[in-house]
Amino acid sequence: MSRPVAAERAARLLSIAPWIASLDGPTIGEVCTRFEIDRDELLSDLGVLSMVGVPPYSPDALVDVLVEDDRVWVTLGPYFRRPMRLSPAEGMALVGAASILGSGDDALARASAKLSRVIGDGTLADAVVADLGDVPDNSVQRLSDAVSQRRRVRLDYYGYGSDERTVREVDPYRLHVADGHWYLAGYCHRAEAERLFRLDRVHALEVLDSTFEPPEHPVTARPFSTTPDETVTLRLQPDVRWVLEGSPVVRSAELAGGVVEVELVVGGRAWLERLLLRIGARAEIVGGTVGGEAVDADRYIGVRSAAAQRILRRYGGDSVG
Amino acid sequence: MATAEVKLERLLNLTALLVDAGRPISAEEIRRQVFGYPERADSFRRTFERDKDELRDMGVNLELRPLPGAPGGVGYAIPSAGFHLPDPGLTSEERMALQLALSLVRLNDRARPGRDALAKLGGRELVADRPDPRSSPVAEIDLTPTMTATFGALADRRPLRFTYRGERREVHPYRLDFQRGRWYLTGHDEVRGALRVFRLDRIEDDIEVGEPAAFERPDHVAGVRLDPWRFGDDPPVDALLRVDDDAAPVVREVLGAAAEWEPDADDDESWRVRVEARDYEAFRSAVVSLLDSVEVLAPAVLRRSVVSWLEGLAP
Repeated sequence: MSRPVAAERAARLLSIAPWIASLDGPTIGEVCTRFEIDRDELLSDLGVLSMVGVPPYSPDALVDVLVEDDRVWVTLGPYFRRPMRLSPAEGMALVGAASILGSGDDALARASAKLSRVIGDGTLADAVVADLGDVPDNSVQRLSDAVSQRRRVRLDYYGYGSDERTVREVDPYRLHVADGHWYLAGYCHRAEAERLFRLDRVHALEVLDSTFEPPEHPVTARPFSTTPDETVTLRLQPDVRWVLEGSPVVRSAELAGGVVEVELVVGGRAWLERLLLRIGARAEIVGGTVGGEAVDADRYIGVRSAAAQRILRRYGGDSVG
Repeated sequence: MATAEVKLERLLNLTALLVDAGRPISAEEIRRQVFGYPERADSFRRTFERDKDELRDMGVNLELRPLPGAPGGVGYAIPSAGFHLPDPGLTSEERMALQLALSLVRLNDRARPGRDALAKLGGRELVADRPDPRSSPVAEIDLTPTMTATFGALADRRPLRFTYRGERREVHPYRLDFQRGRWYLTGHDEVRGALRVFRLDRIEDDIEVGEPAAFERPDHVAGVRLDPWRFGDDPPVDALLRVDDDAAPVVREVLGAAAEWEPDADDDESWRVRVEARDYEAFRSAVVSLLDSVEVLAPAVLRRSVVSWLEGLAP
């Protein structure tokens, strides 16, 4: 590791010195662990610090540093007695991380509120807000505990791609945020495979007593899908190009007039129905593939029309006429 | 003493001098008072210029102030209010929560602001056991220069000037939202005279930050609402929907926080939901994406819109 440059060492020292000064002789070891600094570097920096002060640089105008029996004492003038203000990057790191992870964590929420008063001119208050979806109360904390304790969970889950509500037992491997949503990756005992579950689609969750052994290999769970290896190819009018965002695109090609031909991975029958009904006649269905084999557009037109009919049954005899 | 140590000592002495003085100090007085500067005027100038840059790299609020009688008429100052971090009064539990949060969020910034932030708050608490590596980091913030500048402006109430969709904008920043994986800035567009929302990843690099305390932030600034049917020119109507409980999680997400949910009196497994719509086409689009989990009960104009759309897609 290369030695940090003077500016970094100075900045670091301006954080370390006030902390040491606020205590009665912490050990060198504790300072090194807290501030992630090598013993030699710390002693060297403290040596420099003992030469620092204000005019006339007489002994009483210099920083006082005493190292004895592996402990260190520092006496500072008021100019260095508090650390420096948080930089914008540091402030955003703290407040941003707290906003993303904060829901349901009282200590983190309180910490963030206190920090807001000492960042900038203190008017930050609730100006940074993260919305990661409506997850069941405390689910992030409970699942995080289940992951570290290796305890199986039972999920009452509604699948977007399947339009089905099922109860599943899952060995939770990992919790993470992707695309602004909480996901649980784990082994689903019902599917007998690894799956990804979005937390804001969980009706209820229960942490069970039984435990599991996590796998050695990295988790490669794909989003919950009941139609693996299926794609659909559409020609989108300019006003429905939004389809490209947030759908897994296999390939896309620009055609004349702002039309784009796009091949998408199908995320389940209901996923397909939702997409085709939303875009309606604003997209031409070209065809698709199932298991690598080409499939005619009729299949997808059939899916769309069956879905439309099914929904129309809810509207009873209503007809526009 | 090695040159690295001489420089470190000089930077610290320069900082101490200016913070302690509480008034602007001329370059000439700095040269005389602070140990480690070359005697020759031109060497001093070069060294002093580099030191000023280093101080700014450290994050020190070094300012130029008028100083009558000084060479060049200016002096240098580090006002205490902008230098010292007031004690936030964090408990040990709160500091641990921050430390854990920072370990779980990857910041994509080579400079390690998370580590430096914790140092300013008293360093890392000693943890008995390390967090499970399988669960960290769980999230990510892309701390770009644009995001950093925007946050800094938000915190100090500074105006921002930036290029957005090819147009130069002047905005008073009010709020930062993270939704659907993207960061959005809500602020008052000074030219249009109204609130606007900007996607941070579409703000171009040439962002300018103005002077602090340039405006008052309103007490309550609404968050970003990404539901297109709530904005439009159609006469606002209150839609009433019947929703199957099974699909409630997805319906909640699509209808947004402003929708009002009540259990259906006639059916244990349904809800009645009210939500305002101002763009009927966008509303219809959202409703059909919810398949047969949702039925539009009222008003007739929206119900008809859904039915006629679906009839066009059924054979």
